[in-house]
Amino acid sequence: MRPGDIYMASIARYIARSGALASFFVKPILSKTYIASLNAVVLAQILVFALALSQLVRVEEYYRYLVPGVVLLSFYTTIYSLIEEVFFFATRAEAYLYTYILPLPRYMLAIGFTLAVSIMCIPLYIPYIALLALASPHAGSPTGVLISIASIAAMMTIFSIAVGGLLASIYMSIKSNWRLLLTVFLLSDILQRFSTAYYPLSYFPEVYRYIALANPVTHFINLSLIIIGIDPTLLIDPGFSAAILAASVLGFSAITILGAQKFAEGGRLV
Amino acid sequence: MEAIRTYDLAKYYGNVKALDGIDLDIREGEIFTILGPNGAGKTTFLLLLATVLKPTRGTAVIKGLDIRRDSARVREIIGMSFQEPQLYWRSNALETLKFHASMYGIRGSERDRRIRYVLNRLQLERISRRRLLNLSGGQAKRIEVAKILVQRPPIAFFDEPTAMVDLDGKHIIWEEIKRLRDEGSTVLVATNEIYEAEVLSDRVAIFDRGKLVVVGGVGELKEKIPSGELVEIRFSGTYSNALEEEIRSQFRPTHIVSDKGYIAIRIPGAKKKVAEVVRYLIDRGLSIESVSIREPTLDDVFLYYTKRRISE
Repeated sequence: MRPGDIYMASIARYIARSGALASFFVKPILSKTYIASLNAVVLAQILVFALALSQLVRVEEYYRYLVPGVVLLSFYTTIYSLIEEVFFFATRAEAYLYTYILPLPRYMLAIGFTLAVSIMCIPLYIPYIALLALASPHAGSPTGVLISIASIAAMMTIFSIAVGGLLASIYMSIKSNWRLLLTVFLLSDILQRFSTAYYPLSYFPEVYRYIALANPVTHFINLSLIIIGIDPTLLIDPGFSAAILAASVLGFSAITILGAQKFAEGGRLV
Repeated sequence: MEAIRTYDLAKYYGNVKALDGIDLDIREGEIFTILGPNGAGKTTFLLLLATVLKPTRGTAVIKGLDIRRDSARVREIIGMSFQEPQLYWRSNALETLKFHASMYGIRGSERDRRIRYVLNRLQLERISRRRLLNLSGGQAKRIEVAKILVQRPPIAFFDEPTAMVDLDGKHIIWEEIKRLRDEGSTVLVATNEIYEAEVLSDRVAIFDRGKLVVVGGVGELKEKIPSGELVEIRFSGTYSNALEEEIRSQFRPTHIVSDKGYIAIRIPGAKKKVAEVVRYLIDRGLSIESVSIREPTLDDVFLYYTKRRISE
């Protein structure tokens, strides 16, 4: 079958509708009021934690700890948006049963879901990245700010595609909203806790350092900080981070394809 | 030749057996109807064959392709009209049909010709550019059916194709489904409408509570049941319980119901015995106003096998 044709036809059909593009970007933001409350919780957590840390370290150090938290907030927002969009596409979307009988392998559907949700999430995390870039040492240079925003947005989009694919696969396999929410909540919480989001690597007990080093979120934050110009002496080697991040993206993508194809083929809709 | 063969096909949702071990063969180029009440497993059966659901047990082979192993290829040769219209509600009928055709590689003048024909036949031309969300349930259902009539797949599934459609529309859809069959497609229809099953089917399978009750041609199924035709008589005069008992002993009906001025008797071989029944009633002082004989319906077949009516 011709998956390329199907995507092109879908995109053409979508664009052909008046107002479709506006709703494409506005709807996800307007319909996700819970993201605002989630942001508030995470932001409060970051601030409280950062204030506590500020009692222990100097103000400039405090800035170093706060910034990763904001990056994490951005990531967190993205991951929850992805879940929402996977649900939206898979269960509440128009004609979802119709999607399941189209002559497409399941992994193509998962990739399609993923691309769609990743694109939809861009407006959600761009403000956070802009905030980071404006607060960075590059802030005096508009070019530097733009390069920072573009680089982090590109990295986040790739990472989102991998995570979104993973979620789409999980959803297509288990077909249970609450199980998916639980899985993602635990996964994202573990990834957040065992990363350098709130503390530099040197603050970790030795055994946890290895876990943090294997955590893609650590390297995602590390590369983000390097891109916006935070003092790299405290950070992990960017080559190592890039390799781990690339491996995790490839790994997630492989799981997406294999998972969707092997476990979700034929579906288990109720 | 078999187009579809199911082997012990089953689907459980926890402890609920939506479908429990169905063995069926559906022949190439026939209209095969699954008839049963709500909850009989008809939609589940179609969704399993359409590879939307995964069987708990068993499998099915569609034109040599196993639904478990070759599901992607199965999806290339089937088309399914869903019970609930599966449409992009912000689109219109024309866009929907063009999109659906493009999914199956139907393009250019052939696509336009098919769409024009189907829009015309299903009386959708006038509303073909109206957003689907502004259409009535019946109109949306016609568009759902139209997708498959444009696609013209080798294997077509219709789940309650005329639900919500007016009588005129029902007849048009039945004609078009028959035309699809005549052009070589194998058609599987799920319905709980007895008349639809009788009008449309080459063969019928009756499902109840996830199980296959009986399968066969419409006439064949009716002949199998011993209850006979229904004789309905309207009369004036005094009808007593004693007279009803006399009728029972004299004609041995399988079923008898009476009301004021009305009696319905089900007798095997009724066509031959009706004159005798009428004479018997006249001799006992009743004045006969009308007599009619009704053949058993598929509802009677269902009643015979399950002791319940489909509509119950």
